[in-house]
Amino acid sequence: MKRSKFEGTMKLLRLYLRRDRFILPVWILLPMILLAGQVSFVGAMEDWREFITELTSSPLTQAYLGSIVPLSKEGVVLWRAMLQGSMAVMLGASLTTIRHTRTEETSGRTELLFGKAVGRYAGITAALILSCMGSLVAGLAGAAALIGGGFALDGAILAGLTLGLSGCLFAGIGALFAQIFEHSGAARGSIFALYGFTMVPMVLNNIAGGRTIWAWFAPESWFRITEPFGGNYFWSLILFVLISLVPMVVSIKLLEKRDLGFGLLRQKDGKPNAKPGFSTPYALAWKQHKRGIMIWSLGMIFLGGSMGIVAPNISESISPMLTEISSWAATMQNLGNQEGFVAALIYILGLMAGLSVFAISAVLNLKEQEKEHYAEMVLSRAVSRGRWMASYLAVVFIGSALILLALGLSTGLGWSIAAGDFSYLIRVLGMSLSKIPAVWLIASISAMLYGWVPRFSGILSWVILGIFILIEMMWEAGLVGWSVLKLTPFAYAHYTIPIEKVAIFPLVALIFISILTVWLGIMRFSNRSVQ
Amino acid sequence: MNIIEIKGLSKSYGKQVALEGVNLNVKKGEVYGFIGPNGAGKSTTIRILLGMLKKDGGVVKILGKDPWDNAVEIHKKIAYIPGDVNLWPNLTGGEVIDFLGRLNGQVNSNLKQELLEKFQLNPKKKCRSYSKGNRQKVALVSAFLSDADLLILDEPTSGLDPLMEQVFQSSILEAKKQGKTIFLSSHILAEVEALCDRVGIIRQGKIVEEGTLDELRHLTRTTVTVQLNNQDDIKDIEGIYDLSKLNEKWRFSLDTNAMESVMQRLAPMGIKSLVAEPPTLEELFMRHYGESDDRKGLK
Repeated sequence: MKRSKFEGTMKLLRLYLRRDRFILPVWILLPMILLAGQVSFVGAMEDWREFITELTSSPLTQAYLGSIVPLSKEGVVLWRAMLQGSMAVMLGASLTTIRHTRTEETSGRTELLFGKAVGRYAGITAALILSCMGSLVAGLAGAAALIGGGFALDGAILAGLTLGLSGCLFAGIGALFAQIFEHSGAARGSIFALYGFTMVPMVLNNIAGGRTIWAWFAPESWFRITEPFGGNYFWSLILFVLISLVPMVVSIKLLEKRDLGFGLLRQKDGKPNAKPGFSTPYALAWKQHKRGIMIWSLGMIFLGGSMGIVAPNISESISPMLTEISSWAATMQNLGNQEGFVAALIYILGLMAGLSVFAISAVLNLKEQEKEHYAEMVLSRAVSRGRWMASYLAVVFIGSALILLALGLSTGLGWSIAAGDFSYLIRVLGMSLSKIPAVWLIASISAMLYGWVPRFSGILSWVILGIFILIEMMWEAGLVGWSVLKLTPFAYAHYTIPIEKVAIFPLVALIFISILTVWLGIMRFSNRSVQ
Repeated sequence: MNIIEIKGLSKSYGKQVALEGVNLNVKKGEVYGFIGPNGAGKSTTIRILLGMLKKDGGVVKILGKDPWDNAVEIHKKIAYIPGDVNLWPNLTGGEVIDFLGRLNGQVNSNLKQELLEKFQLNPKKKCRSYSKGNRQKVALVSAFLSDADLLILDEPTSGLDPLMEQVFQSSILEAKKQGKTIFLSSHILAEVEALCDRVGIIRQGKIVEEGTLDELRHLTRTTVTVQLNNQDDIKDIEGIYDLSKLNEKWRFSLDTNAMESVMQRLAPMGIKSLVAEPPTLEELFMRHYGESDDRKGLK
């Protein structure tokens, strides 16, 4: 590799830092905030040992969060915060890398830079330095939070580095996907899919005791390997570094093999004429979203199906002690551990963290269509704004229902086949389809924001979802009551409600509210300038 | 009958004033050239004409109707090529042409084939692999394929090669023959000169000149190159400017209305050869473009 190929790396790094000055601190500081929060939360608990022992004895918690290692305050903090913390850096680092590589290349801005004295590897190297440094800073900031809580120095630093390196691996994978796909959307989608897939080894590792070979396949479980404050296995870090380097080196090699502006997957010629039905904005919207809907469905089928098959392995025993001290555990007892596991899975994938993300990003695609002037091409024809927007929203609504159907069918079938009892299929399908109104409402809120405040609709949509999720977490922690949770759409098909007890009327009401919200959004869009 | 009527049109983006009192009329069946420097307000005007942007003040009528309130109805009768042709990357050029055509009705597949050949466009390629010029060809084919009464073209040829430029010009003249009205915004002055019946020059949000090319030419000087038998100096003749002499030939410019008197003075000197060049559109144009200093304070 010639040195000149890296020329300009530091200059580009400064440009990237400037461009990321608002978003970078968000994902870098998140793990610290999570860890500091847990430190003060657990520190304030008098009887934490009793509470936590009982909670980890639940096979359901075991499956999602694993056991607490070591069984100390430190262990509890890691157990509660490392999963979310590493999720923040893994997604933050990989999306940052893609943002500065593939997104720039697709837009043609890379070409503008490479016309200058900038080496071929400069862009990707600067992006990788940014995301890796960001991850490591995030980890060290987290370590600082632990040290600030009075925890041991070596354990804190080990935890921080473990967290940071999980981000470095994903930074490299982000760069790799940016080489393979010609479109940043496809690269980003694959990152989310990959993150979803790592949940399978994570759960398998948790079920099998917490320190198995599976942990290596799920960076969010890497702290199970290093065991900060326990075994303190510093040597594993070397392996993490080596693993993280692999995708980075491969990406740079691939960059050498391909032309600027193209991916590794080359475009084939298409049809010279459109299919007969391809004549409405609805057909166009469907064509734009078809791939995404298919990929989401396949992801859901894989995750739901494999988790469904795992479900019968979960023990049904519940400690009576636990149900006394935790109202959450008491509600879960009604469901039973296996059904509770599946219900929580459907809730997380089908609403909270899965379909909400699909719905919001699919609605925000309207913004993209407008910004890239694709909207203008259609709107300068005999198509009203209302019809254009409604067509795209219809696809989002129908698409999210289809994905939920796929999730319900696959999870239900997985569980039914593994347990040999097909009554589960209907129950799980019910759980999944009952999420439709809530998902639609979340999509509708984004649509309304798009109509009224297009510039801020992206950030506002995600903040609102974040607030809903925060309320959910606070409810689970017993900090707020059910009446507060009812302010979010999550409460109306909540996983703690047995499916046969879910009330129909509130769900119908949610649908009406979302229709009204969409109508407000379309009204405003029809009456504002198109960018 | 006026196809486009704009009176006192104003539009601001926040504090930045884009248009301040634009007036222009486009008559039925004419080719109207809309020229002006970058950022003068051409695209803003066009996007208001299409009902994409909301005007702040003034009257805009296109085919007799307000474009903001009657967008769909108007769009049935117009074809538009945006300044930046961005096409859905995952569709082929052929699919886009069919799709856009069908949004307004039927697609005449014979004509489509003919235009594809004329513009030498491969319709099987995905739009993301098209160059700028090819994306423009997709938009051009789509516009000429429609049976629109009015074509609104925002710098439609900025990425085309000279051969395609010829094809474009012949297609415009063909459309004109069919009685269509054409509103052409362009930076390619030779193209405007070749095609347009009337021209409007916009600068800093105002129309600074409007008229036929002949009318506009009257506003500026003609360049004359003359070789005389007589060796007399001609610098004292009234009405001539920028005099220079090269290889026995005088070259100067003169006010168009001084033409007669200057010629009467020159004739007795024995004219060997004389070439009079009317001002090019470029010269007309530079007159307005170059004057930016005096208005700097207004920014």
